[in-house]
Amino acid sequence: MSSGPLVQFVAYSSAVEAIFWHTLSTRKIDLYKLDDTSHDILGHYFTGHTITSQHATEANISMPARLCLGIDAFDDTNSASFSRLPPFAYPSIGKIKNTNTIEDFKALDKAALFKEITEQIWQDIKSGEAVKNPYLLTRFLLVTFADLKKYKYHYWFGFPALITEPPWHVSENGEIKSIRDLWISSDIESFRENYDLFRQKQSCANAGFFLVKRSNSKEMIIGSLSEFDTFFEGCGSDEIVGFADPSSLPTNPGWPLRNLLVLLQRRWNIHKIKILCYREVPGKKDVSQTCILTVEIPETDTISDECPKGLGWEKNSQGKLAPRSVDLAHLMDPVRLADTSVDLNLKLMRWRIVPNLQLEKIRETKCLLLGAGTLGCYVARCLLGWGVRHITFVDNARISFSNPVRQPLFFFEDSLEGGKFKAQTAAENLKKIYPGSITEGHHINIPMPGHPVISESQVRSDIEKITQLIDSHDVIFLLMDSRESRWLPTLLGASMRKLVINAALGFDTYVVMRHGVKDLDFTSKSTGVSSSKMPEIKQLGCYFCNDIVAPTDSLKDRTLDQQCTVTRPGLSAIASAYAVELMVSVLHHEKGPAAPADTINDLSGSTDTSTSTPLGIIPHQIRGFLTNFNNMLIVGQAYDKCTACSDKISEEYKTNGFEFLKRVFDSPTYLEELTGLAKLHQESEAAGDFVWDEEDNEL
Amino acid sequence: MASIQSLFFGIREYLSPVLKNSKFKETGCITPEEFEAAGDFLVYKCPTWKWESGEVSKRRDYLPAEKQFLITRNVPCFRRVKQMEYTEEDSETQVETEDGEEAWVATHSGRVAANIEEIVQQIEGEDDEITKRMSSILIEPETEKEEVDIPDYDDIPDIEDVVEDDDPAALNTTSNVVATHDDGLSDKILQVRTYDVFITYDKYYQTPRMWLFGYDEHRSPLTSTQIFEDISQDYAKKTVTIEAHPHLNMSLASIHPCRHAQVMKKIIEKMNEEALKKFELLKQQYGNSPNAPQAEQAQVRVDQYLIIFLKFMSSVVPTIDYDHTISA
Repeated sequence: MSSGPLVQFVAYSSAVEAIFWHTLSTRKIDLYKLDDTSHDILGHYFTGHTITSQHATEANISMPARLCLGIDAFDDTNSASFSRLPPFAYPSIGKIKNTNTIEDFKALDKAALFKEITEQIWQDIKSGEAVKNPYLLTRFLLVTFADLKKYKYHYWFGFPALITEPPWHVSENGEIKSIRDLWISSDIESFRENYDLFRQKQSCANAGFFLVKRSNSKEMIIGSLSEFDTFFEGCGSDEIVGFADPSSLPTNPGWPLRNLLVLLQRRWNIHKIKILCYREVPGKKDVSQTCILTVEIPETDTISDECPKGLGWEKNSQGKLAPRSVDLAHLMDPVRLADTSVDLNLKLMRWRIVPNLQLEKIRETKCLLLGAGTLGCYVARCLLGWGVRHITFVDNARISFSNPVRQPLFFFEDSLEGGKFKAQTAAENLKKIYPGSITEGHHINIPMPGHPVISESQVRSDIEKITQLIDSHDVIFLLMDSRESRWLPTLLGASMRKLVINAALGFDTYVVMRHGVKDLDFTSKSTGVSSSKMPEIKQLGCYFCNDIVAPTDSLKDRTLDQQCTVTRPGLSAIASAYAVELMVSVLHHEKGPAAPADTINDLSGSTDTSTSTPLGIIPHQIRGFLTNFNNMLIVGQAYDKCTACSDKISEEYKTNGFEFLKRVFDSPTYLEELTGLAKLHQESEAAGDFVWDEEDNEL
Repeated sequence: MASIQSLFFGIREYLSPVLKNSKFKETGCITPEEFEAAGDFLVYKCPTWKWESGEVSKRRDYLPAEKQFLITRNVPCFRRVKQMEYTEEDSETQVETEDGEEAWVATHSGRVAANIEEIVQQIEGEDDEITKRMSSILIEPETEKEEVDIPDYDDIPDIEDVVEDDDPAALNTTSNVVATHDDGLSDKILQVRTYDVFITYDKYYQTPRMWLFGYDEHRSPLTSTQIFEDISQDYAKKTVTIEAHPHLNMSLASIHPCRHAQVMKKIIEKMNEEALKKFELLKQQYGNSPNAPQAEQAQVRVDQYLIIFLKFMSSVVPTIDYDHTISA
């Protein structure tokens, strides 16, 4: 009886390529469907070897003994197909059982499946099939549940090893040693060359288990297991059985040896044997890490025909007997892929052109689009292009037949049966374009000065909703088709210090502007305008600051061609694009909405490289004229008598809230009285030198 | 937008004619035929690399069906880049890269040039300088064990139907240190990150292109952020993109080839200069002997292209230990 220690084997670590799971998914969907019978799969393993990394400080780094599954695992598992295995790999055939539900996975009789494989191995050993095809000794089991919706895969490998009782021990003086310590270098070289030839002859399939002897001419001869009965004739004690050893530990052999030992004992009644653990550095013609050990078990008289117990479920990463799981959503979920691709496209800008681009800031910006018409649709698409996720629409109209051709978030179907609500439909369709967007639509009437309150409770609730929406967003886009509907959001935006971007269209003219907010850090020394020629500006104006009349019902007494925004069709896309780009530029300024305005009316002034933001200057207003295809950058100061953003108005709103608003809706002239505009009118009329004229359009 | 762009690239790739004449020394570019030749040479010299065919529907007709791209699998990656510190002035130049375009381009090309020196020296294999430099790379020991991200098994309650007896013959590999040698070194089974490394041919840039697919210590695929930890800071987030693999149905990290030709041209020029110098020396020694070496023999051959390319790439992904060494 040996006094040596127990032989301890290094178990396999499963190494499944992501592409395997991908293939399993497609096969499940296209091929297996609800069929959950098991299928053969082809795995492979390599011999282990310690690595001396040029970047590692420790010597002898051992990698786990990997059993790999790759893209080809599902193809035929006959020995002809082994040729497509990676170079230096050894085949291992397995069974995969993929359940339809997680419940099935839990309830599955795994022990029975494991036993089935164990018995197969035992049968192959008894019948001699494993002598002819020793790769059959490495059969394995894989039970899985593929959650195809979440791209999550639960799996559990079993690597059945037949238990030998009593177990194998290391023989006296037979402890594991490197062949470097046991053989002279010419032996090693001869072994390497002959094994290489043997492997080529076996075309890898059965090269994983073999016999080794020293010939009289001092050559190391390699033979296959099927030659066992005659191979060792006359070579005395130097009988060696070798196997391709996935273990890389210099101290322990790998898992495949267990079933090989069972085969040797059962088939040839072997109780003591010298084992060669073949380990190569792939492609480097280096087999010096190969080890040899001698193992033995006590002789027994009775050989049982009964299948021994099998062991070898893989433990999970916490070392417990439980399944493992892998989440491939970030690789396979199209929504997540769209997400990363959109960001990637934007990141390309950062490589060389704008290294300081604040994409994260843009991405996190929450945009409220008041108006889901032509302007709203274009603005939303342009925001998507910038990677903005959070886009909310507000509109009170339905989609009409004329809309889809000019409003790129709507389709013909949307205008059927009276038309769907614009805001909600815009949100739905935006999600179709980009499922990662966080978007919703609200059907709300924005109360307007000069449009008297009919249902007070309705108006109250509308105001409440709008206030709440403006509060919960970072940037407010005013994209409505009338000037008076912009009044309330202008007031609210100013009082909450939001960035308000306003776009309005005439027939062939447009204005895109941002509303100023008071710069709280403003000191008289810091100029509000970059150009020193300009007068100092404390706060930039809003849409209403240039007006000396209060907004009122502009749709009354107008003919149809005056009521609708009759515009050149390209105008809206141009203005929308400017609106979004203006927002992006402002976001790059440290003062945000309070950023001072730049003007470059000097067209040759491109020599000035010190722009306010990495993207260039930030204008206050862009007025464009399609007749001449030109733009003008205009800076306007906040007007202390402004009917929307002046202190008087915000004070009044703070003090009287809804009552104030209601009064304005009923009678907009109240705004003129409040701000002092009415007085101004009287004064100028008295002076007789002041003529004001309402503009035709919204400008 | 993205789909239009990729469609555009698809068409552009289709229209760009396969270069027939070897211009690799002048341009740094190679043709598909040259890619194939260089791939064969790589597989021959470094047999862990393998040709693959990929998805049938994604095959490119300018490469043989069974030689669409190259792959090497399970390449260990022991350390993160941030754990590697060069003793050079690298850190300084890296800070500058935060500045504008000019500074970045300047520092970047400076850095590449430095790498070229390294690469040339490595490939020439003629001096110990590089070995010295390599040994001067400081590796921070992993001081604190990183919090192992234990996967969440909540949705799988303990499955109790599998109960195994204790298996004394199975080595317990969870306790890391297995044996200690007389010299105090230990054998360990290290659970490390591994990478599958792919090289495809990029028809538009006419250069090889490297793709990385990483797995963490528990064999879960790495996210792009995690992969960036293994890419030199000069490149991560600047020329690394996550894109669909041209031959597989997967998205992978890829080192964008927009500057590959330029860099390869420089490296090859440098190597040829060195080779020419050596050749001149030899010629003097040989005199007019008929055995005198021919100038062409000293030049870089196009089939060595991928070996050189992999050296170049190893400066981009310095901790991924793929095989690119030519040995006997």
